[in-house]
Amino acid sequence: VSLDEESMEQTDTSTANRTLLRGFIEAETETLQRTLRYYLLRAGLANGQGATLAAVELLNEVVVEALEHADRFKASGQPKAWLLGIAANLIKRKQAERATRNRREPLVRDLYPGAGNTLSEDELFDRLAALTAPPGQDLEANEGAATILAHVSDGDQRVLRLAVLHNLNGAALAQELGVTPGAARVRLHRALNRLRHAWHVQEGQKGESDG
Amino acid sequence: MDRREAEQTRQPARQLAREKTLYRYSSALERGDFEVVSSILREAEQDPPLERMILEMNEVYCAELEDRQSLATQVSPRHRWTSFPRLLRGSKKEKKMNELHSRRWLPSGDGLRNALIAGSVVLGVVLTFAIGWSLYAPSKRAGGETALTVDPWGLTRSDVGVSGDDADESLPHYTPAQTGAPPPAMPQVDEPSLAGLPQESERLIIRNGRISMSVRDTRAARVSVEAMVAEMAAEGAYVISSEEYGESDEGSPYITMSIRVPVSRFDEAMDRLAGLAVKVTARHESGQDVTEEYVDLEARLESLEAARQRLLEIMQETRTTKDLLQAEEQLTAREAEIESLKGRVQYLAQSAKLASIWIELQPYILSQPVGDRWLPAETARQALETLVDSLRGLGDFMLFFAIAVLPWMAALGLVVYGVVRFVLWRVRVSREKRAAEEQSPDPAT
Repeated sequence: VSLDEESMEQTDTSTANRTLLRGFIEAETETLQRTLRYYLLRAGLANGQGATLAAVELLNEVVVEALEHADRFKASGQPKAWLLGIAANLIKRKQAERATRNRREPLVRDLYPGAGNTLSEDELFDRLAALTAPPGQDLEANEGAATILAHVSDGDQRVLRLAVLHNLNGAALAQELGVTPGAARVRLHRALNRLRHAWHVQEGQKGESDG
Repeated sequence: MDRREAEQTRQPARQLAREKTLYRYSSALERGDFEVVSSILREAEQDPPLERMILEMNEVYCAELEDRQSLATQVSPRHRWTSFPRLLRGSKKEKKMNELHSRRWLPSGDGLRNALIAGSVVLGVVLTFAIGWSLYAPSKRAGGETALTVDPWGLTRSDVGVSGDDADESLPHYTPAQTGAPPPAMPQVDEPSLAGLPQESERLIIRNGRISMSVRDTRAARVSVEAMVAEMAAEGAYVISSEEYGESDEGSPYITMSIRVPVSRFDEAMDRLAGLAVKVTARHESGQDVTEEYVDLEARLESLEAARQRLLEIMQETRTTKDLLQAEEQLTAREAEIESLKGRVQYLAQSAKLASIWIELQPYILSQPVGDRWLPAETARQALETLVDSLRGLGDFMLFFAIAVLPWMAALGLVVYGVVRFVLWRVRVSREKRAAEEQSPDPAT
């Protein structure tokens, strides 16, 4: 009897989740499609006009997967993140399939040359976070900050300095820059990436000269 | 207080951790590493602020992408589509450039690219023509007016491992133009024997039986019934229920049972049950033909399965998410209906396979023991009970009479009394009158 009840409860949850997800997808189709289009382009699985069509197809696959496994969705969770997670998994699968077809597994360092030899995102972020000075302390006086920021252009330096001043908080940075938090974070992350790259180049040069 | 402070300290740390995760997300996205993207999205599922931050960033990336593409659609002259003749002869600007660089013995980058494309196209056309001719020429050589054989699967002789003259020997083929003879008769295939098929479609009948009978010992009879069911158990027979009631020290109880037996042994079971009885008080057998319902259900199932398949195809072909959602909804409804119909079909098939029999076992009265005990106290108690019952009945009657009947009787008595008094008064008055007349003297005398 308890098994029957359990399975009935599971069916009820699944039905409720399906209804919830269906409504959410209907309301957010356009946004999801746009994001998936961007994901596909970033993953190198589509380009040009074909990306829109591929995004529609991917979204359809996501919908099918999501509704089929609706029981796994936690009602307290965020539906968009869950759906995008499914999309990311599908993209991952497609990338792997493509790699198998090409008889070669892609490595992160192949996809992003230099990623394996330079600082990881976490390391760089932590190093910058360590520079975030307590209130009252002059950042300019911090030699570590100056050394790090000297690697990038003035524009990037400004973004990074502001970010460091505000504990790398995107929302505060957005206020300073007068843009949306999303745009501020994109700028910050690009500046960070350029810093990583500059760092990598410098390290390489140092290695060569030592050698 | 401490808790609040701890929470306040934790907030910026958590926010910093989110910013870091977000940076990892954007970097992973930029390099197309969806392993990391997927893991961060999993994290965001349970962290609404992180999800919001990710979505904001996605919006920025998408907007950037759209801006970039709208710029790209404003095609620069360098990337404008070049027509094929133009490609061959080169644009005016390219001509001018070529003139400027006429002393160079190697073509420029664009010229080389154009030359390569043009060369590829020409080579493609030539090759296509050559292949077409090579396929056409041998057939013409071999048969003069021989019709070209069409190979819908695109398999040539070489594809199936036969070529040249060998092919003619190993693959006999019919060519009307060569022989003028009628086509060879098709190999004789035996017609499927109709005798092997059922003349009439198999009927699906649910059989039910009910038997009430008197037996010497109801418990022994139940054991016999259970033994019979056990004997048929291999064919699916089983006891559904068994109930016993009215048990006393003096005799057997009443027993009712419900059993399922294979339909092929239904008659045998009924006869064997009747054989247990001293007297069969009721026997009823019925059959319900459900063939029509079964066939109808099967047809509906088939149609629903086809609809389901079609919906699955539509889901694969559909271009918009709205259509997909609608198709999925329809599919869910169809699947629920299919499950329900399957359940009914299964029930009918099962019911038709096993007949159900309801049995009532009553103790046979003559076989019950005769009571030989004298119980005077019981008799006195019963007599007293009867006396109390009769007194209670009398009291009830009196009460009822006094309330319901007596008022009517009193009223009626008064009326009768009045009438009687009136009649008596009239009689007395008339008598007195007559007496007075008799006593008075006659004036004539």
